[in-house]
Amino acid sequence: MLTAKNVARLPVVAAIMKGKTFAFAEYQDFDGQSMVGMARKISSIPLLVVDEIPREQAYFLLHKLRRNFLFAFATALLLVLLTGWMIACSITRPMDRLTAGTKRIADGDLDFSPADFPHDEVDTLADYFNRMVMALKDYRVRCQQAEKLLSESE
Amino acid sequence: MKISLFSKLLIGFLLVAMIPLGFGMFSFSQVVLKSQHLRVQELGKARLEMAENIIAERVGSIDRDLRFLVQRLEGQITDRRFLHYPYEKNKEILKILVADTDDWVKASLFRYGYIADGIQVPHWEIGGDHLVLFTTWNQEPQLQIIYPLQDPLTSENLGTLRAEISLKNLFIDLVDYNRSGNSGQLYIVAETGKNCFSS
Repeated sequence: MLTAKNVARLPVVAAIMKGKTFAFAEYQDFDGQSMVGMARKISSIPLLVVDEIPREQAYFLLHKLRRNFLFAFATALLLVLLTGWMIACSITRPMDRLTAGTKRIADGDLDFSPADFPHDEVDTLADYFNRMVMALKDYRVRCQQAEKLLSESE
Repeated sequence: MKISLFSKLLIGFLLVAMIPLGFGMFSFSQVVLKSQHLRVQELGKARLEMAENIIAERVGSIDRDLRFLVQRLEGQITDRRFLHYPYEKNKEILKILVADTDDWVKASLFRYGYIADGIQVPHWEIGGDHLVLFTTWNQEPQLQIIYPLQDPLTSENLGTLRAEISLKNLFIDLVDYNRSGNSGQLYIVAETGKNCFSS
């Protein structure tokens, strides 16, 4: 609250007393509250009009917008995370299955047959992988037959 | 450090999506901030102008009445009857008096107290702006206005017409300021830095 004693110490009043016709400032009042102040010199008489309003009330729309902005940003972040997670999963899951299959084949299990891949490049890779496994199986059978024939002829 | 393909993809997607989104939101918030500053300033200006207009209109009206009186006096500075028109019309006028060149009172009207004709009053300087003073007994703001009186034929200086106007009564219209949806506070301050009124 302004009193006769402290009103001259307001930055807007001080600016007018220095010769300005209009002054606008944001400052802390004598109670420590953030205020928005404006002052204007009255042209016909030696008086000035001072308008003081708490900053929070002056910028209430901004506070409301900031809240909405934060909410929108959080929602966007969540959506981006979800979409990113889904895209990353759609790429890495088939790759993981192929990696697991490769490990089983490396361990000698040729019965593994990867299936149900999405229709994209990974599907083509899985298709070639299956053909490679089939060729390996065929090669193994022929090797076993040749080995059997060799042992019978001996 | 081994970073999985999943992490790389997720971080890459986050960066690609969030950088333009964040930048766009920041730019938009800056525009909103600037427009809000302007809005607050313009609203404040409008409120100050409204208050100024209310005061200037009242003071202007009293000033016109007193100037009209100066013209009507036409040298008859001892005739009290002429003083009644602005005095009765404007309740803000607390004191109105005519003094000769040596500051002897020739005619006067007072709302409070009394000064008899023929008493010498303190000298007021003619010219310059109106003066805002505060009464010593209750610190009420008053506006002092002085007009020179001249003989219409010879232009000889006959004395002065002086008026003291209560600013407290003048500001009554501003009391409604807070009722018109304004959450702020309006102050009228003298150029000396002394507070005269708060809504």
